[in-house]
Amino acid sequence: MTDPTDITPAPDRGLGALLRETYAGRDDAAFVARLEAAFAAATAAPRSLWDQLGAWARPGLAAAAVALLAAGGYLGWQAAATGGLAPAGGDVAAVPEAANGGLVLLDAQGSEVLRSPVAPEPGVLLASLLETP
Amino acid sequence: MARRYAAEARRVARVVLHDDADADDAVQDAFLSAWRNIARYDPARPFRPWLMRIVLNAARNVRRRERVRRAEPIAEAQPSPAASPEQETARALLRERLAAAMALLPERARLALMLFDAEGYTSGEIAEMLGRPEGTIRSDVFHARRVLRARLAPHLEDAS
Repeated sequence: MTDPTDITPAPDRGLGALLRETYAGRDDAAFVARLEAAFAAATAAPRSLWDQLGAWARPGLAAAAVALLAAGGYLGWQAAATGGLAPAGGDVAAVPEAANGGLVLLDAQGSEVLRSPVAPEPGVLLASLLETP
Repeated sequence: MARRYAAEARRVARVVLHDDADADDAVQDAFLSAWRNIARYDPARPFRPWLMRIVLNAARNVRRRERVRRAEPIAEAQPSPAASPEQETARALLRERLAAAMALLPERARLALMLFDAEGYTSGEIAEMLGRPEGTIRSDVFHARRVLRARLAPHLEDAS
């Protein structure tokens, strides 16, 4: 051991080696393997509900935006096709038709306003929105 | 990270916990925590003190949780390959005495000594890790060495 009266000493190599021997853990290689297994398990662990919801949120929002755009455009297209008349009431909900990819418009009472077997083309929808009256 | 720092982390955790299984649990907790919180690590600063601070916190958490038994002598050590059986016996005895003497020290002094002499940290790094002024760390190292010297000096000749 070095002179202990030195209050700003350099590391005592002899004492350091003895301390490392004294506090060494058994079988470091096995412990490292245990740690790596823990890392692997943590990586493979199922994500939390919030993580999953977060992952779904982005495509979900994108799909909703597309559906709204499609519904709005379709209404504009329909109004143009029928001489510019807007649907009475105005509160129409567009529901995608899963079976054939079409669209169903429902009024506030849930009655079918319109059913289209084919989803409107985006170009048509955008054209109807951009047209000036 | 595990391969490079596990041995040091285990020693540091054992200075706090005195128990192999608890120390290993603490190190595992710490490494997983560091891995999950790596975004909080500032790359402009050294990684090792950041990781060891997490290890220390994990060890203290385990101690709080488990209320581990205090200050048991630590018997396990790796034999040095070139030593004679007599030398190895004397060194094993010295390790036992060192562990017993360390157990008499306050935790902060044990950690300061271990981190300074055994792990090679500067007093400034230790001060940051333990949240104490650098002068306090130097003083801790000084007092810890004095205690150990007083208790171990009679046995140092036999084991060297």
